[in-house]
Amino acid sequence: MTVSSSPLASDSPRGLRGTLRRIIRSYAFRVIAQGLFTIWAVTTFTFILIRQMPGNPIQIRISQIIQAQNVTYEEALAQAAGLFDFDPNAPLIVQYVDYVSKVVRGDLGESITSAGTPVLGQIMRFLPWTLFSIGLGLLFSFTIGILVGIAMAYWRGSLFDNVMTIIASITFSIPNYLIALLIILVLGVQLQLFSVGQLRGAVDTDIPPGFTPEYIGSLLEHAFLPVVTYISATVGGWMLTMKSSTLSTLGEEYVTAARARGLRSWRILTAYVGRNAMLPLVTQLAVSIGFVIGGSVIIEVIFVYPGLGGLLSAAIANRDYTTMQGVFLIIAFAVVVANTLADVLYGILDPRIRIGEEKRTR
Amino acid sequence: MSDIVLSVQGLSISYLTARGRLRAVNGVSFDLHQGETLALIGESGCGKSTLNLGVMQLLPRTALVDAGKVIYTPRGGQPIDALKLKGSALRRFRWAECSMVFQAALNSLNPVIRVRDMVYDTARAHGENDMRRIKARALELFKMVRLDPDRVFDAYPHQLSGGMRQRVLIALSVLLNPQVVLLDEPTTAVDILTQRTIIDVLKTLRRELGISLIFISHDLSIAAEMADTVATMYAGDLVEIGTVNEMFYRPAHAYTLGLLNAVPRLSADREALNSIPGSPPDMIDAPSGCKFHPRCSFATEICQTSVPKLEVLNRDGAAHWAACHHSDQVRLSAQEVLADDHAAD
Repeated sequence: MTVSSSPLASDSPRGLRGTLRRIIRSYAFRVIAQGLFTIWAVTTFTFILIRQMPGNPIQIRISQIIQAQNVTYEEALAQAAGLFDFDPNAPLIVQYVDYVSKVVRGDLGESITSAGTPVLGQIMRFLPWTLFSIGLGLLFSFTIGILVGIAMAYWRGSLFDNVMTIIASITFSIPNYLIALLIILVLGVQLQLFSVGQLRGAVDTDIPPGFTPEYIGSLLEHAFLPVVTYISATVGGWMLTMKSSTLSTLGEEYVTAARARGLRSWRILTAYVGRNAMLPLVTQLAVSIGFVIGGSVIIEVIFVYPGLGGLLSAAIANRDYTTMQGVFLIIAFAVVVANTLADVLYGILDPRIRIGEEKRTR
Repeated sequence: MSDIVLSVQGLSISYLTARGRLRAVNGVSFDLHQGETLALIGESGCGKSTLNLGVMQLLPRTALVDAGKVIYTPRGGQPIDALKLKGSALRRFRWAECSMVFQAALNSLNPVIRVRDMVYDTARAHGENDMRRIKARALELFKMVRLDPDRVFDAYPHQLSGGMRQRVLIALSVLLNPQVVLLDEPTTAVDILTQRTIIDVLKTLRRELGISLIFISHDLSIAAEMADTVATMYAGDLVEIGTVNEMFYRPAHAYTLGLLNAVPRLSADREALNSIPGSPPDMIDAPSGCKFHPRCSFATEICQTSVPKLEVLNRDGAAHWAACHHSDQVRLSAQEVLADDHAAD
């Protein structure tokens, strides 16, 4: 009586329809479809929002043009329509289709305040800096948080655990912009550890760009303060979550079983405790990317760092609606991509998630 | 006797709780011979699992070994105290000498790695580097426990049913050819047909590998079928131990008799099941004298004041010890119950 009546081998679909069904049911397809849906929803939402905002941006622009250039309403309207790159008098549905079809082709229109500047080009100029600083910040914060969190759980109740818990709780409860201000105030102004003025911008403009130690050093130097802010604002959360996750994993029977089998502690720590304890944090990482990008707006303004946040805050101040629209869309896109990556990573880490696919492929 | 592989001597284990010390295992002693199967029976929370974990030094941080020794004799080696092992010596003792099948089979396999990785992990931890040989050994064992070897070897735990996982654990437990295997209720979480398979598998393994088993079970019928020796535990004490026939046909402790009477019989159509009244005692503030006396129908004054000692019953017959002030009466009562059963047949 060998147990081989496997449910996995049965009903293997055949032919084109089978292949289609397999694709639709596959994990990757589901993830991508979800991502596309989210981006579409955000696009639609921003479209509606811009048109429903109090103080219709088009009307505001028209009156600005009338005041500035002393032209008639019709001329101003024509100018504004040219700026907005759509006909404000067309039915909403036509505008919507027009807008979406342009977005699909990667055309985000032109900036309202500085005519002739494509929004996409603006975004592409600022986005790398945001990705660079936030990516670096999250990478360090996540890694440090996980390592410290595991150590706290292993040595729970120790001095190390207690001190770290206090530090984590304090840093995690201070908003990131306060941390940024504190860094400037204490380290920059009072202790004079760096010159606040010199660290403006993304890089020292005197140094020629290239893969030279000076240039990379300058990049890191300028990103240092925002990155430190991101780390200190988020690392406490990772530490505490990882600690509690590790503690519950340590209580699992398979960890005791691994010890009973005489496995080396390092192997138990990595493959049995660490990997299982990390699972919930991977999902959280994806969520936090959205939060950090949102929070970066103020941080980049405080440190005068030329990222997307700086661009967005300038756009808001100048009522540059096309730019705002574009930045929102890119932020949504970045969050969706990050979520998708996290989902894929989760699938790699946890075979149980891959069930849908595994059933078909085996 | 010289063929004793594991000798537990006066083992006491306590848990530190907010209310005080909880004596979960209280001065337990027994010997396990080569090829012998010892069944530990008793209600939940009587210290059976703690005893097993104690032998392997796998107790949680809140537990303390207060006293006692676990003398283990390796094949062709000198006896050692397994409780004194540390570091790599302890790692080598675990699994290669004494392995364990955990109670929660569904939870004893790491959900994120394949069965084969757990096999390789175990082998590598014990200095085995020939993975081809280990794979062949694992496949052979999987076949022995009636699993589809190739499929199970490459599977993730979630792809296996509860009964399959239980058999994977059993196969894994003998991977390194240990002398002693501790089984913590290996049949509790599975259906009746899988139970039968597992019992048959265990018998095969025992016969072909000559291992000794300590077998924890609530299920007396399985204990009766598997065991050479049966030991009853109550509230941390080992209250009776004897050969399987002695224990089932001539029980001498009121608690053992109570457990036996609580088993449904095919022949007994005359009455409802006799469960033991009351519930296990508070082990931090245990009853005086014999801990079982508040629930015992044989109890007299002496049971409330004096703690009964484990005493030899048959001076020249089969091995049998019991810690009961009224073992003679218990035996008489047991004879009556058995006679009734025969009459009913």
